[in-house]
Amino acid sequence: MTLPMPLLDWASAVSQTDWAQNIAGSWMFPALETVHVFSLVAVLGTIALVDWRLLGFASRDYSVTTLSRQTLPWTWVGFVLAVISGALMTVGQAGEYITNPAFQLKLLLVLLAGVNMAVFHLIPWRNVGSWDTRVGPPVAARVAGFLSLTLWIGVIAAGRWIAFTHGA
Amino acid sequence: MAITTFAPLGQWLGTTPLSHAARGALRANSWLAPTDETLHILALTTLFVSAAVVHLRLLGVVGKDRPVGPLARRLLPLTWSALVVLILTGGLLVLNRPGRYFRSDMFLIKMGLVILAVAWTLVLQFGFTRDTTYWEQTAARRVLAKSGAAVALVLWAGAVVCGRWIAYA
Repeated sequence: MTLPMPLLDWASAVSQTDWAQNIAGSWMFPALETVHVFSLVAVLGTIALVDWRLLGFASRDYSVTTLSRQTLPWTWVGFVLAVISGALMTVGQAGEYITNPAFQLKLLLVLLAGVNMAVFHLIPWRNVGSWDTRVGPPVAARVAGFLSLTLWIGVIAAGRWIAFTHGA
Repeated sequence: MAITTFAPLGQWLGTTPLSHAARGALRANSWLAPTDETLHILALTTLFVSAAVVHLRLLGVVGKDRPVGPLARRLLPLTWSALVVLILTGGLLVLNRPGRYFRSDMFLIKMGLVILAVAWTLVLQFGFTRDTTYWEQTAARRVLAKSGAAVALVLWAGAVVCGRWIAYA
């Protein structure tokens, strides 16, 4: 994807600051990676638990609302930490990252996962009371669960591909 | 580096046909390394979350309204399957450059932590297989289960940290 010039200029300016270079070249980088791994485990793991339940494959003896109530705090804490650690990991080579196709794909997939979640909350979740304890939730909920699982696995794969792909 | 005892093992491993095959496969297929790493992360997530839910339940942090036995019986098989995938996907990367891994303190510490965590999980599994209420039956077992759970969480987390640091130390 071709990006506007001001964005590219801004990214290269960020990457040339002292603090960005300090992060990239010190123990802080592997430390950020470690935080990123733990936070992605929390995000993907808890989302997968809910998605499997929506698909009717697992946790059938838990109601959907109980399961999401118990897992969602971990999901959000994980997500916030993943965004912060991820952003700090990119600053040292911001220009390279934002032009890297795998990185762009990863951000797009996160965005789509967000849209999927919003649609899920606007449509099937509205009458969750009527299917909360059912082993097979309505089709819309199952589709949301399937899309969520697929998109987040895609996020992981795209993230892993960044190191094997080149930006401008 | 402190741990040098294992270096010859790495060198020997590098001469095996399996190691040659791994190197050849990774060199010939550019998609194989990122695919392998992606599977490693997915399996790591599965192992960590399944183990964490069981251990946090043993510690009384989550899901106290349900008994631990059925939960463990459902989740531990997931932990074991994920472990197999982790060994296979991690094994491919080690076979690619065994000399480097077996000279890395971080890798060797990681393996030590994994072995201890797996040993504990076997003990835990042994109890749950005998009886779903095995770890609740006596005060001594309850104490052992709780302390083991706390230690195991630290061991698995430590293995993740060491794994991430292999490339830097």
